This record gives sequence, C-alpha cells and structure tokens, in this order.
Amino acid sequence: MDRSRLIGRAGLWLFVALTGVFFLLPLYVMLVTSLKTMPEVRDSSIFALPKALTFAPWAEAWLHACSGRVCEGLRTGFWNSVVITVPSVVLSVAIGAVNGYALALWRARYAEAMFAIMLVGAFIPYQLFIYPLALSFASAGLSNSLAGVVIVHVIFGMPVTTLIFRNYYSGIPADLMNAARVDGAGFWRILGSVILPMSTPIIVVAVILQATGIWNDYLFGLIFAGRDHQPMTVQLIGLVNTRMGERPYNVHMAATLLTALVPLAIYLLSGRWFVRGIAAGAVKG
Amino acid sequence: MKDLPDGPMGGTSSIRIGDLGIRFGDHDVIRGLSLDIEPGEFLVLLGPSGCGKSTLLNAIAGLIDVHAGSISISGRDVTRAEPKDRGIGMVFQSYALYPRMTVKQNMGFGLKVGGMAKAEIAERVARTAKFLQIEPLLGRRPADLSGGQRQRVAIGRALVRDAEVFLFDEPLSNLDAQLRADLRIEIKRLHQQLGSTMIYVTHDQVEAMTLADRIAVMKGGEIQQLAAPAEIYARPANRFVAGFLGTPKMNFLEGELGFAEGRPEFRAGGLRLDLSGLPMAGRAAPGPVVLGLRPEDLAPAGDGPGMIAGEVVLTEPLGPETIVWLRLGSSQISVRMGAEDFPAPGAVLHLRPDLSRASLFDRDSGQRL
Repeated sequence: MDRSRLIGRAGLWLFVALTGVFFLLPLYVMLVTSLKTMPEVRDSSIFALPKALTFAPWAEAWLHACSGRVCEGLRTGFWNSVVITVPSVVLSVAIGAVNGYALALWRARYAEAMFAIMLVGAFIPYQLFIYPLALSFASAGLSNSLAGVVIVHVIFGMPVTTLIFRNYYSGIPADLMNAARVDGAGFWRILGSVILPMSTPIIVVAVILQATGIWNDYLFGLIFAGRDHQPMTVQLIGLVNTRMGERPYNVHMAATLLTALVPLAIYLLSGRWFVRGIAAGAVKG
Repeated sequence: MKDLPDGPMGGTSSIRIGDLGIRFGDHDVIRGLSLDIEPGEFLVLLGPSGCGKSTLLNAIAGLIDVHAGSISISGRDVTRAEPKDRGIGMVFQSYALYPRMTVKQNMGFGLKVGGMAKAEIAERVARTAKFLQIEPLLGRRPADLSGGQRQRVAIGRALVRDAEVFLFDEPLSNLDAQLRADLRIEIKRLHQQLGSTMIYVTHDQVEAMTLADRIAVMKGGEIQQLAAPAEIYARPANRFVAGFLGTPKMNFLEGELGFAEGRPEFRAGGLRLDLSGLPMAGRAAPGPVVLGLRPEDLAPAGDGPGMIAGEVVLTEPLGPETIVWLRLGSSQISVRMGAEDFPAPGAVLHLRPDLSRASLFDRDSGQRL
C-alpha cells in the first residue's frame, strides 16, 4: 500500500470513528444514567459508569411513572403504539405495493399524472393538512379514535410506499407481465403469484420505514388518537414534563430508551435486508 | 427432442390480419397492414429494430391494443379478445420465466390459472418436459438454469398449453452463437413435429432464411415483401430488402439502363454490361437504375468486355470461403471466393457478373423494376 492510499485509509477510519462517537455518545450517556440511582446521577460525571448498578429506573418507567395524573408507567402507551403501528404499517405497505404495481406495470391511463399528484402530496408539509383534517374527522365522528389515527398514518405513508414500490417494480421486464397475461392471469393473480413473491427485499424496506416512522410519530398521535389510544411517544413527553420535586433523570432516560427500543430492534434485526432492499431500489429506480 | 406420438398436441390455425392499425399516442406504428397466414405455416417477421415487427406480434398476442382493423385466428375474430382466449403460446426474448417458481410451476402456471385439475397439470407438464428433454430441470428455479435451458423451459411453458398458434419474439437473441444455432434447429424440428402455425419475430436473417416457410420483411411498420425465403433472396422487391438479406449484402452499382440495337444494357462510366439475359431488363424503360449483384454472382475471369475490374482492398477468410472486397470507383463491392485461391490486397481483379441473376432497381424509389 503506498503512502497516499495509507493516508486516505487513515482519514476514512478517522471519519468513521468520529461519526460513531457522535452517534453513540448520547446513547451511552442515556444508558449509564438509566442504570444509576438518583444520588449517583447527581454526584458523578454523566460519562461515569454506574458504581451500583440498578434497574429500578427501568421498572419505574415501565410500571409506575406518572404522565400527567395517570401513574401507570409507559406500558399502556407501549400497547397503544403497537395497536396503532401494526395496522397502519400493514395497510400503508399493502396499498403502496398495489399502487406501485399498478403505476409501474399496468401503464394505466394518466398514471404519470396521478403519480405526480401523489408526490406533490408527499412533499407538502403535513402540518398544513392537520387543521382541515381534524375538522373533517370530527364531522365524520373519527376524532379521538384508533381508526382515525390509523387512517391518517395510512394516508400520509402512502406516497412514500407507493414511490418505493413503483421504483422497484419499474425494473421488472415487461415480458414477465406479458407472459403472465398470456398464461391467463389477471391484475390480482399476477400481483399475488408473480410479483409479490419477488418483492421481499422491498417489502422489508417499506415495513422498516413505515414502522419506525409511525412508531416515532408524536404529532398525529397527540392530535388524532385521543386519550384512550395515546401512543408511547405522547406518554413519554407527558412523563418527562410531569414535575413532582426533583427531576428523576434516570427514569426519564430509561423511559426514552424503552420508547426507542422498538425502532432500534427493527434496525438491528433487519439491517442487512434493509441495505439490500435500498440498494435494489436504487439501482432499478 | 424425440419423436413421441404422445407429445404436446399442436393444433393448426389460420391467422387473418385485416387493415390493422396500431397507434402509440399520436404516432402510427402500423397502418393498414394486412397479412394472411396459412394453417401450419412458419412465418417469420424480419426487420431492423423499430420496424414494428414486435408490435405486430404483440398485437396478434393481444398484449397491446389495436386501433383499427381486425385479427382473426381460425376464423374467429379475436381483435378485442384477451391473450388467454386466443389459443396462443408465446416465447419471449428475455425468457420471462417467473423467478420465484420452479420450472414445474412455471410450466403449470397457465394451466393452474385456467382451473385445470392438479393431476392433469402434472401429467401435461411431465409429458411436455419429456418431449423437450428438460425433465432433470423440473425442480429447479430459473436462476439456476443456463440461458439455453431457460429458453427451452420457456418453450415448454408455451407448449404445455396445447396452443394452436405459437408466437416467438426474438427467442434466440440473448443466446451465444453456438447455442443459437442449436436451438434454431430444435425450433425447426419442433415445427416439423407439431405442424402448428408459428409466427417468429427476428432481426437475424439467418434465422429467417432457415426457419421460414415465408418471410415478411418489415420496415417502418409496413411489409416490404412477403414471400418464400428463396424468392426474397433471389428477387428482392426493393433495395431495402435486397440489402437486408444476405451476408455480405448485395452489391449495388448506380448507372443507366439503355438500349443498344434493341438489347438492354447497363452503363456506368466506361462500364457496359449486356443485360439481355435478364428478362426484367427488357421490359423496363431506359433511365437511371441501380444494378444489384450478389457477392456469389461474381466470378473471377480474365480481362475483356463485360468484365468488372477493381482493386482488392481487403480479404476476409471465413474457412469454407473467402470474402474479397474491391474498390470500384467510389464504392466497394464484395465477392465470394474459394477458401484458398484468393488474391492479395493491392491486386486488380476482373470479375464476370452472372447477369441473369441480377436485380434492377429504380434509382429514385429503390423499387424493383
């Protein structure tokens, strides 16, 4: 290896190391703080490892911490988030797949125009839609309901999932569709028997994007879910902002980590698929 | 392939295309095209890319919408029918096998969609696989097959449906030369054994010449000539057809058609060629023409009247024969010569043209006189 390449390598590794520190340091601080008792949090450096390891803050955050006047920890919010995220992800990915398939492979009339409109929809800041949407939902009797928040997530997730699937499917040769049509298969049969079985990488990508996005959502959950279905994020903010004397930083850190655990787990478990799917989409799109 | 009495059943159907028009947006790809195909005929649609041959095939398959005219198969009007209701099997250039299905599932998919019982599907797939000798491949996925195997499976998928008409869309274009030659022979044998009506799209003139009962040479969405391969080769309807078939292509000499003492004569510069052996020359009117001569219709000879002389610029030894290129004025002509006895570049070669096999084209329109 010659000198200039060596220097290049060193620079690269330095950059990787700095980036790693930048992202991992906050995580580290949160993790160690969540494992300390409050006196230790007060007295030691935020970077110090816990002297007496304790999991009490985690139990407190999950079971008893107060969000507003309700002191049940984050567990109700966790289940609310699951109940909101699962149907929202399934529906938005399914609709995106059908849309992408129809737009890319069936050359429907005005397909390009419809796609353009959908994309414009995706790029308008959605805060603009919130007030009219809240009013419409109120008049339709959907405000403060699980159905309401799921519908909002599906609507706002659809442009992105449609885009992802359309780009992936536009790489499929037209002959494959023609062969299936000669074989007598129709719109749904081709989708189910030929196209979806080829779609695993891109489905994984869409599910990851939607699941993390919807799980991390705060605004829609706050506005559309109502008190009974408050997602974990909304409860977390409530928990952190509820003050009774001293701020229990260790509990706050534990609660935040608990909330972030699901997206984190999704990325860790599916990282390889995610990269593969993104790459496949990028090459073909 | 074996001669099996219990092989796939090939029906035979006539196809009648009347005044067909196909439009993409405002652009007419095919206009007023008519074509009759006999039952059991092997018709090749030949032309350069963009000539409309694949579009025509897709229209016959029902994969693209027809803007005007009609298509009927076996006397039944199928202009608006779905592809599956036309009794066709189709083989594609990119094979178009379903990637997540095994060979067996690929071949049986159409039958399954059609609602056939499982046992019968299995039996038909097995019979076709045996016929094509692809039984060892039945459990594999397309990704695990070579190009030639994939195309054989794709042919099997078309055969298994006992279609009346088989459509081939450049099926050999993605294969290497050796495999292409092998599969070409297999397709020819397939046609002989099944006797089905087949329409075959290609830009490869060798495939067209070897496979076809009749060739339809296409350009710009129109059929330039529709005839048996030998007829097209010997009597091309225009300069495009003449240049498209044959390697190297036909030599063209620009000149005048005149008459000397009632005998037709081709004149170009100092060159005078007596055309009395060419019946078409006697009927034509004098004027500017293009004389077409195949490379094999020129034979080396001594100097003398009626000879074409040129300087050898390049030789291409092909094994059984050698192509010799000569400079003739501003143009180049090619001559087909023996494997060993050919002149070196720089030599002057005198050629005796076999004018009874020549073609004459109008210089402006390019049409055969």
